[in-house]
Amino acid sequence: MSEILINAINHKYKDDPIRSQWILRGPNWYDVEIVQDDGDGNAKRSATQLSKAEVETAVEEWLVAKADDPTLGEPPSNEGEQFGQSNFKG
Amino acid sequence: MSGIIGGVGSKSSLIKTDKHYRSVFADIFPNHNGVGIQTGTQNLWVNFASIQGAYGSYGRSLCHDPDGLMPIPPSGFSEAFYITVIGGTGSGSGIGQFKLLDSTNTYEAISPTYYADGYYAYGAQFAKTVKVGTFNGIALRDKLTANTSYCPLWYRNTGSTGYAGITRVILEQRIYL
Repeated sequence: MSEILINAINHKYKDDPIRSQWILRGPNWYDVEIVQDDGDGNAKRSATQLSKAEVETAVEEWLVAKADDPTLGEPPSNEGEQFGQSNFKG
Repeated sequence: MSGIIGGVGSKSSLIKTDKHYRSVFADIFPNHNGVGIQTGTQNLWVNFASIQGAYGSYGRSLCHDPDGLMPIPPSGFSEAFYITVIGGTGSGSGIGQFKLLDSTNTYEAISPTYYADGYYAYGAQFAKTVKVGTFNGIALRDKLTANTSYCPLWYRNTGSTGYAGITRVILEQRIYL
């Protein structure tokens, strides 16, 4: 589930100046924490947080987008070589 | 005995003084029922785990002697601690980096170290094993003896996009003859 959640948050909020800064951790699949700089280079919890409904909406939108374009979130073809033995090609 | 350990017929003479003798391991992350941690934030350090020190009357650290899993080795042996971070990155340009600090975030026993980059997944099993240095001259086990002591682990994604994740951290005590 984390992989879908990561892609969903990235897909919906990647251009959002606040919500593009996130951490996933916790026991629930929808545990997304929006963070910001604490002024010392460390992440602290932001006043802006996503509700469970907003997370669910992001996931639903991601699933629709992914169905429309299966290449979303997949490695570019030239980077896909790391998955196989093609690096050994002369 | 003149240096013979174990008597006639043993192979103890093959054990040189710089030979790795045995190791003891302990998982120190995940520390709850989550499967891991991921961040899509660029550059901000995230405190995601701690090596626990003593607490209260009964809480002991993993390194406590003699009650812990990793007590002080017997006379004639020496030790070193290693940390292995296992995880991955994704969405193209995630770059994962970790460090080990003291509880005041002043001294580094492991300076920022990269463990994964590129397009794979947060749950990949890329691993980086690093020797734990000293906290300004103080060894890890000595940092964990005081009440309420701990040593936090931090990580971050230095990539401008993508994300970095960690699924496991292992503390290892290597014992040498």
